[in-house]
Amino acid sequence: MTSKNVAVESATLINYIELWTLQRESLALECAIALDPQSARTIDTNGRTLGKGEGLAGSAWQQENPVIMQGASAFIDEASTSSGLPIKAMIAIPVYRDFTLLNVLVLGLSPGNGGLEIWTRDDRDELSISGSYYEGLKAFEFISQYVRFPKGAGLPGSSWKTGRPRMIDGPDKDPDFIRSFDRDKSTPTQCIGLPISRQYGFPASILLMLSDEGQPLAKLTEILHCNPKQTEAGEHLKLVDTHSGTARPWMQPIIESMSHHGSAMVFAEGELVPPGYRCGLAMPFFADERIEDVFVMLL
Amino acid sequence: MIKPNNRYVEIVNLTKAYPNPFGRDIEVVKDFNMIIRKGEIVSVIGHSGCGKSTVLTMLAGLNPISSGELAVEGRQVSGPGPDRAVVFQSPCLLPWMTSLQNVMLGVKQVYPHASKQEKRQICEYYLNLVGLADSMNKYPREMSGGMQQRVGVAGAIALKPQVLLLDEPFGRLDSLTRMDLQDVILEILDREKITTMVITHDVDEAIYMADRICMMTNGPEATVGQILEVPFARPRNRAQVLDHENYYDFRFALISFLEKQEHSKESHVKAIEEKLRAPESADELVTA
Repeated sequence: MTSKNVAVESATLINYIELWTLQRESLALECAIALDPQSARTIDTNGRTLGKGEGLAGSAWQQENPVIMQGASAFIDEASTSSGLPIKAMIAIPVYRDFTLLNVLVLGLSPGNGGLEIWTRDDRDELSISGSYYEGLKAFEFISQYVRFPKGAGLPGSSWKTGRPRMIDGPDKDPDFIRSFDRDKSTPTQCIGLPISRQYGFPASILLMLSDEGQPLAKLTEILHCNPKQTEAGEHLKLVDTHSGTARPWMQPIIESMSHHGSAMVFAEGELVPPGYRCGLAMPFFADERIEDVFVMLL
Repeated sequence: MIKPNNRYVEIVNLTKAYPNPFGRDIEVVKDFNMIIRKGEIVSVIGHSGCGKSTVLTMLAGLNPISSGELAVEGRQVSGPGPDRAVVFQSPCLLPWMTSLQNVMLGVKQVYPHASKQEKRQICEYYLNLVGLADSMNKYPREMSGGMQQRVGVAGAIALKPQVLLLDEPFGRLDSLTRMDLQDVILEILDREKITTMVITHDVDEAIYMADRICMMTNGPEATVGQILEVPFARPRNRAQVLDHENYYDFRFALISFLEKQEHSKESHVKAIEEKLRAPESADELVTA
């Protein structure tokens, strides 16, 4: 199986990033980045804040789930205007440490084939789609609304069972990714499953992000598995494994910084951005209040 | 609040393992999860030998479970009972009894206080439902395979079961008889609202009959791959279902799932074999 964890020169599906941080009773916009083809541009945040239920990030905070926005939307228009980039859809992803909200990460998607799916638990203890966005995946979109995953089944069910992020490269060939793209023009080459929050021991929902080779979500995506017990005595978080199975020099500084921050990070400059990339983002996933996995995107 | 009818049949982490003299127990079915609503018809589809019938026989109480939970209307399944009637692929009729006498066998057990006349009326009613009004006094040898299977269906439904379990009931029938019997069963299920599980490996049969289709992965360690909701309204009309604009989308989803299972069979079996050879303490395989 071909790993997608190689730097690619093509444009990325994600072209806009906002990081909101919970400060007392509101979310403060920590940074906003527009991704031009060659560089990352920091947009003035103007000290913007949002209350619970306000704006896209505030909605994700209120709903305790990712929120997808597409089509005619004031949020998309605002982000498109401020970034000067075409944005087709946006997603707000809440980041939790157990029940505590830390951040809301907002991502803007440029026009290009791919998909976002939010899988939520229903009264049969199965996951069904509660929100989605697709481009170039018409047949996949149709059938997915009728698909359900019990715990442990498929990529969403597997992430739900373990409570950990998981990535599948080449989902059309991978036996663990059991829906088919055969009837669509686009065949996603990467699918990422991210568990959102941990309620009663299990995630409240699973976010799936799909992208194809022509326009991947990011130039490089990686899941870093850490040893959570190493943070017990205030030590730096240590890398124990990665999705691709390869440790690279840029990884350790990111997880050391993550260990210090203890929340989602967006980095547009400095030593954390390896050469060849415009910026990066990192999302922590906790087990018993300790960081167990870090999902990293380099754009 | 969760309504009991929404969780009428609960199958939670159901596992069936057989002893393996050379290492770990072989788990033919592992962590099978499914919730069935009252009155719902669920098809279970998968490749031959994947463990579909093992799930059904465990739910019937004919095959003890190794671990997990099985409950019907909140009551744990601990053995066979008239609340769960089974129709197997081969008609299980006593050859020295007529069709009416075969149906009467179960009726006597379930309606012990009914009069002889009432019991006979019950048998006649259900044999009439399956279209055997003229064949009540025929012996199995005097009937075709399809007719014998109808007797089996009448016998199962006459028990007034809470759950009807159909284990490839049309597997040995020609296609015309199969379609005819499918319609007979659907008509009865629409009328009686019996919660039903149908084991099949026929994708068209699964779509036509079921409200939901449970697709099983290959064994060993077979489990639910995914579940497909079938949105076609009831009562169903075969021509209308086949003409539905999305019929082939559902058909394609099932076939592509089965094809993917077939392609990954070799690597799956290899991974399980390696696991079985590994010491007990080794980490479990991560399956998705």
